[in-house]
Amino acid sequence: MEADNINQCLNFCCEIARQLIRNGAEMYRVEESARRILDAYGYQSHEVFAIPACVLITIEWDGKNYTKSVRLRSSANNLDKLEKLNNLCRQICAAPIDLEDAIARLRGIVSEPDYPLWVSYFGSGCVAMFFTLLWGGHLLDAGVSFFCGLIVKFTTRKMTKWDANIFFINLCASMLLVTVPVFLRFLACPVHPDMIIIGAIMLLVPGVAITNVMRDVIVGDFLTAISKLSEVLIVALAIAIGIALPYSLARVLFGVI
Amino acid sequence: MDRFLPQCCFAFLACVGFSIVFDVKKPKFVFLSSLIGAIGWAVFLLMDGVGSDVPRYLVATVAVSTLSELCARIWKAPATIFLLIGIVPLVPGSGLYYAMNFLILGNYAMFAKKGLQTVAYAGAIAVGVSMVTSIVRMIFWKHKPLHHRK
Repeated sequence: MEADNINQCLNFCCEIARQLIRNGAEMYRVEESARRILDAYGYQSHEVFAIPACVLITIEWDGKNYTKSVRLRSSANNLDKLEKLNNLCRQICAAPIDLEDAIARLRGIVSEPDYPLWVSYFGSGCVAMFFTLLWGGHLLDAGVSFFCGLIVKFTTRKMTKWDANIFFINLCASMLLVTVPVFLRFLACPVHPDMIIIGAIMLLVPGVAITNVMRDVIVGDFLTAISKLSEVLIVALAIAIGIALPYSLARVLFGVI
Repeated sequence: MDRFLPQCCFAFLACVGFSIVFDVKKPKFVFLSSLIGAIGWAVFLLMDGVGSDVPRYLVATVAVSTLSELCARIWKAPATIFLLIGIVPLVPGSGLYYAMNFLILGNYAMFAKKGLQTVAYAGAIAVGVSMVTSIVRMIFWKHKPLHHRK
């Protein structure tokens, strides 16, 4: 029955690693959590390897090797679930609970609902609006910016559902958000396109990823850092092109904006 | 500087928005991480007049990451929660926009200047985060050696 137990433990570790990565954990946290859980369940000899695309866990027990790998394609940031998963890991390491219970609790955390859709739309709008105000936009700018935030959220959400790649998602979202204020300006609306765009672009700019890259470099996960850095550069390039295209098009069509 | 208080309020509210975007649910964490964001922005504003903007970004980032690590230790939560949201007001999104704007206008000198500035600010943020995190790890991992690392 030992093999069954090892299998179950392996499955649980892989699942928790998968969920940690999916919800935006750093790779060292993923490896650390899996190692400590395996330790807590009494497996002395094990190896864990995690990069954003893949997790490999091997347990050596009684002269036999048991390995499981998990392939991942996308990750998001869901900090609430991240915190709860982290808590679950802490509790298991402090006092190992029955594996069935652990799996049930993991499933419970994963299936918890996110914020309702309207709340997340409202949040995106607020981010755009308050950043516009922060950089000196007027109230009208803030209103338009709120609308642009909604557009960004709508575009990224829909295109993620359609499995578009990250470059195309950011390109389309930034193009759409730039088009709105530029067009309003063309209609002689007294708005400041720069303030609106700067505010709404904050939803797309990969600032979070840059800080994560540095945290990966510190702990020596250079493979992770490089793959995240390429993502940062691609997203930044997409946003830059997304800003440039509608602007230059507007200059050609309407003259100077 | 006359807009100091409203600016900090806007930074706080923008961070609250971001904590909704990132699905932070506990009100305590939403408040704390947004407060850290507002403090980071306040530090950035108070450093006005040091000449270059790079040290401003650096010091503000150091403040944000120190507070984040502190909150993480106190409330036993991943530092990521506080750091990701607190750092957001400092992210140089505007630089990217202005650089592209100058590129379209054909002003290559200003495009290069703004573009390099943006890269420098991003670098300052990265260095600030890495400095604090490295020091924290050095301090805390000395007391708690990992028994399973062979």
